Formats: sequence, structure tokens, C-alpha cells
Amino acid sequence: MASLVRSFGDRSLRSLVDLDRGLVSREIYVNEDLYKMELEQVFTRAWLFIGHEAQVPNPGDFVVSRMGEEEVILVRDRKNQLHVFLNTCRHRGMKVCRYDDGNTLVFTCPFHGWSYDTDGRLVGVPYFDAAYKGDMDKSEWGLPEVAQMCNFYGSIWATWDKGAPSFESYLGPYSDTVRRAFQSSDGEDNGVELFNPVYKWRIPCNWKFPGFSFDGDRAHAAMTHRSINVAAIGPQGDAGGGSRAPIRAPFPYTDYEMTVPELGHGGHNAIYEQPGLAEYRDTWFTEPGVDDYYRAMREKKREKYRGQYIVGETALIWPNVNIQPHRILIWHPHSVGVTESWRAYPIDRMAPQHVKDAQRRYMMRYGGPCGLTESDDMENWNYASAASFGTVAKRYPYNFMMGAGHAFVDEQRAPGMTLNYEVAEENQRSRLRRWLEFMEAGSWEDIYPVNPVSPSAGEATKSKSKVES
Amino acid sequence: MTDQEPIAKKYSEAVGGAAITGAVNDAVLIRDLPEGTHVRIRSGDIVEITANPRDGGWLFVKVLESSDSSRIGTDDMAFCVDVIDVVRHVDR
Amino acid sequence: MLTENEQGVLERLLLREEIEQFYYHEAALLDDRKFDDWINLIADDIHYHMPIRRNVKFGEQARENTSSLNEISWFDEGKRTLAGRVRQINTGIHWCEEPFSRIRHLITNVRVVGVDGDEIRANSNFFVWQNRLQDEVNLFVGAREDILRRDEETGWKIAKRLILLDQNVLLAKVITTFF
Ligand code: FES
Ligand SMILES: [Fe+2]
Repeated sequence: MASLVRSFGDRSLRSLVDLDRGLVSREIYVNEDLYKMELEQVFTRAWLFIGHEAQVPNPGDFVVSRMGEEEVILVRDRKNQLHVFLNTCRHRGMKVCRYDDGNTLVFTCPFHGWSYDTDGRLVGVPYFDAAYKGDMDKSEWGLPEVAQMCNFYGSIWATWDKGAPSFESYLGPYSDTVRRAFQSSDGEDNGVELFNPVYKWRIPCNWKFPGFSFDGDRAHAAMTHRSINVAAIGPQGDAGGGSRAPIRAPFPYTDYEMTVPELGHGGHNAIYEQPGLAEYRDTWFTEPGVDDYYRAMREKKREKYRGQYIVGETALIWPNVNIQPHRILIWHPHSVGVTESWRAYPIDRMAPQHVKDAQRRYMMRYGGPCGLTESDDMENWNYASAASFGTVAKRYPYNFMMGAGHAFVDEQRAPGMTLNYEVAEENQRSRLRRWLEFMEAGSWEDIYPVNPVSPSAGEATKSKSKVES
Repeated sequence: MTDQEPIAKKYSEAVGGAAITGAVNDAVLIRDLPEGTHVRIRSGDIVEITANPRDGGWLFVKVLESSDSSRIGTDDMAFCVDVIDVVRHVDR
Repeated sequence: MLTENEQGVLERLLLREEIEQFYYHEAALLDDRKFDDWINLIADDIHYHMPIRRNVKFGEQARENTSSLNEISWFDEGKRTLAGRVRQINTGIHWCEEPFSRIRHLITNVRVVGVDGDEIRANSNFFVWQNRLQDEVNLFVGAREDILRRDEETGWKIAKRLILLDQNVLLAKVITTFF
């Protein structure tokens, strides 16, 4: 594996990220040149989340999405094939689509009128015969299309790099988690749709604040979210102390930070000490009839997973998307100090209206820029970022020491994963490791197949205590 | 719809559909012409609108009449400034 | 002696004046951070709705604002959650409003557009300024469409409020104020 050692200014990238000690220079969160490098090295290379096929059910349906800083269009062409195109005219760059979503026959550029079919072909050029006189071959001037696209159980992912491994290989041991996140609550594959539209808002912080800390920073919850329970936003209302999370039946499990250090993915996850799924416990006290639906769905799912050990319900998929049942969180780089946060909410496609309504209202009051939980995360990311730009501030590295050297594996119950205590910074260190590899790599050949990372020796840390995430 | 017709006619008569650039026949706003409408395009062909993307720029058309007989019955696209005149209206 | 016509004009003026004063009072409560008093102006059955505003093609304006029936909005809730928000702010540890932002509500273009027994429909515009810590500034401009209900204790209660924020991507990191 021929990994290039890249440098930035007079420092090697490696000197900025000391994974053994868990020390990371603030530079990588605030430096403009490094940010520009990320757009190239990370965001034109990695598989990125685009959307869901249910957003564009009919031929001609489109919705705008985003890869890195740039806008793309997810469109179903007139032959029912999905495409992801960069939203820019090949003539002189104008956006060919300035609507958020809709249905169209063609994307016609409002500048000089070049017109592209929904399959990306350039089909209309004004004055084509009279002015170009046969000098231009229209077939060479279609909309720029991603190098690879994957429809993974209904979810759409894409990369600009034709050298990237298949999406499933990219996910590695987390492919099952992502697959299950797009199941309906009875465990049927491709069982969800997304509520429309997607939330979009700007957070004044580097994209890695949310991107690296989500599903990797359980330690923040106790302090950041201290104020949330008084609002009792959970489906159960005031019952049980106003927790924002639904009530669950007891089931023997241990929570861990769980990561694939080679790939950069990881989540806060549980290993169940017995096979199968917990039975359903009523929780929707504020919304009549909803428990009946979810209870029946859970029974079907329990049947399906009887005898199986289930590992991993959530995951941060490197580099910038967090996949959870009922929630997809995406953090797009917008500038070195600004993130454009996108949020999509999957819902069982076949759920009755009152269930969809209840779930939708819960999601709206829970998260996003107007939800009660995340507002405090955003204040913290905002001013952590702001206070890291200073000349003196940058002399002090961030501390990612929590649990360093105490990771372990459990090949029996969590194959391919590296585990750490439920409150640790193992997942963030994984992302930083993968970040370094992407930033140094000359091409995908340097970073896939992966170099196995062996977790540093350390004792298995186990805890039965439940910490809110 | 029909209130466009006299202006368009007069305009196309005046300019003869000859100029290629500039605001020669802005009188025909094609954005909302319904499918089935017949229009005359700059080449002199009469075409029927088969689909209108309603972008104000283009129409998908089928050629009905043309001095070049090989064009008759073929599908084409017509650009807004090439649409000279509406020759048969369709009620929406 | 007023003519019937003059009497009607006078009544309309007085009603508009009363509604304007109610709105200024409401804005002052919010700006003075008297959130418990503000919640007391909210009817128990309020629908408080701030849709997301889409960029849509001409002719599709009917779906410009997201629907409360089956789509995602910035806010789409009732009094229980609004009261929860107030309780959260009042903890003193709701970090995105601790310390408090300086928020000012400018309410303008007030029009009473309908009267129906105890209830009136009133539209207004807002310009909300938020200055936070040293230099964080968020501006929120938009319109409100209200149903207000006569109330013995508070004069009026807000029974329905549709808030049209003139933004697509939300340019603030979070909305901590009420409109
Ligand atoms: S920029 Fe699109 S047609 Fe010229
Ligand atoms: Fe959080």
C-alpha cells in the first residue's frame, strides 16, 4: 500500500493527528487549506448519501440533493432509471434546476436554453444547426453524472470516484445496520419512505463537529441535554420523568461504542445477551392507537429475528451521514466554518395515517433547528468552532483521549467491530484515522482494501448502566 | 390564449420570421400552449405540440407539414424564438 | 351623531387598534422574556404552524408551503410543546438561550380580515432581530395569519397561528424564539 505522506504548510498531516495519544490539532477543524483539501480528498471520493427512491416515485420526478458543497439532482428518468447529476449547465455553468423538487420532461437552462433530458443527455441547443454548423457533438455535453450510484434497499448513495469499492464493501460490517434502518418496523426490506421535505439549515461550525461527534460522543449528552426532560417531548409525555426517548421493554444488553476503525464507521450500539428482540412496550401515551400498530409490527419482526443476535441499530457512515431508524442526519461542508445540516425522516411506507402523523410530530419536536433536543448541540458546536480559530487557541490540541488504548474485540458477538466502553471516544478516533487516510491517499487504491487495525490491548470494559445518548 | 393570435400574426408578418437573434417574436409565449396545438416554426413547417415542458424555452413537436417531405411525421424539438405563429388552438 | 357608515368605520378602527395593542403587548412579553405570561395568551387548542417554504415552479404555488397534514414543517405543534419550550428556556441551562439572546419583535401591517362571533382573523408581518453573545445576528422576516379568540382574562387568546418565514434553507442555526 503506497500511502503518500501529504503535508500541509510545513507540517505533515500525520503530525496533526496523534491517534495513539488521542491528541488532534484544531487546525484540521479551522484551516481553510485543509478544508479545500477535504472537498477533493474526502467528498469527491467517499460514498455519500443522496436520498431515497420514494422521493421520486414517478418518471420525471426529481429532488435536489447535495454532495459536499455542490448541488446534485436525483431524478427518475422517463425509462424509470435513477440518476444523480451535478446541477450545472455544461455550457456556462448555470444551475439547470432551481426548484427543490417536482416533475419535469427536461431540465432547461434559463441562461441560453440548453436543454437536458431526464437521463442527462443534451437534447436541445438553440441555433444548433445554424450557429454550431455541426462542430459540436451533443452527446459529449450531457449533465455531469456521478461515477457510481447505488440503490441500497431504497436508499440512494453515490460517489464521484469510479475507483471506489462497491457500496456494500464500503459499509463492511455495518451494511446490515444500514439495511435494517431502511426496513419497516416489521423487518421488511425497503419498507420506508421519507417525509417531505428534508430539513436544511446552517450551523456555524466545521462539518466535523456534528459529523465526527454524532454516534461517537455519548459523553456530551449528560451536560448538553440537561434541560430537555422538563419539556417531556417523548411519545409518553410526562410519564416516566419526561424522557425524550421512547420507553422500551427490558432486555439484557450491554451498550458499547462500536466501530470499524479501518472504514471509519461506528455507532453507539448494544450487544444483546440473548438472541431475538425485546417484546414491545407501550410508549405512545400521548397518541391513541399508535402502540397498537407498532406492537403488531414488532411481533412480526420478533418472529423474523427469533434466534438471531442483533448488533448495531445506528451508525455514522463515514464521512458525514448518521443512519438511525426514523432519522437520517447529513452534514454537508459549506465552508470551513459552516455546515449545512440536512435531516430526513423515514417512516413505514404502509403505516396508517395516524401513525405517520404521530411519528412526524415527534420527530419535528425532537430534532432539527426547531426541535428541542438539538438546539443545545448546535450552540456547543457553534462556539466550540468559533473559539478554535485563534492563533493561541490553535496551540492547544483537542482531547480525544477518552478510552484510548482500552478498545477490544468480540469476534463472537460483534464480528469485524472494535468495541469500547459505552462512554468513550473510540468512534471519533476511528473517523479521524479514516480522515487521515483519505487526506493522504493518492487514490482509492491506497485506502481499499483496508489495512487491518488491531485494537490496542486493553481489558474488556463492560457496563450494564444505561446512558442516554 | 386567442388574444395572442393577432399580435403574433402581425409580428411575424412584419419580421417575416427572418431574424435569428433578438426579441423578434416574443409575442408567442409557448410556456402554456397545450398539447395538440399546431404552430408554425421558422423553417415554415407546421408542427403539433406533443409535449410541453412548460419551461418557456422548448416544445416537443411532431412535424405535420414541411417542404422537406422526409420531415413529415418525425419528432423534433422547437425553440421558443423559432415558434412564429399559432395556427390551431386547443382548449385546455 | 354618527352616521351608520361612520359608526362602522369607527368600530373597525377600534377593533384594529385593540388587536394592534394586543400584538404589541404580546411582543413585549416575548422581548422581556416573560414567557410564562406569553404562554397564558395561548389558547389550549392552538395550532402553531410554521411551514417550510419550497422553491416551486410557477403554477405550483399551492405546494410552496409545506402542509400540516402530512409534511415536515419548522414548527407544527400545540400548546403542550410550546409550554415545554418555555419550561426548557426557564431552566437556565438551555444553552442556546443561556445567556439570553437580545430579541426584538417588530409587528407591522396589521389587518383584521374577518370577524366571526368571538373570533377574529388577523394578519400581520414581523421583523424579528436576534443578537446573541457578541456578534451572532439572526433575522427573521415573514407574515402571520392568526385566529384570535376573545377572552375575559387576557383580552384575547391566540387560537391559531400560521407563520410564513421568508426563508428556504433556514439561515439560523436554531430558532429559540416565538413568533
Ligand atoms: S449556461 Fe446553460 S445554456 Fe448557457
Ligand atoms: Fe446531542
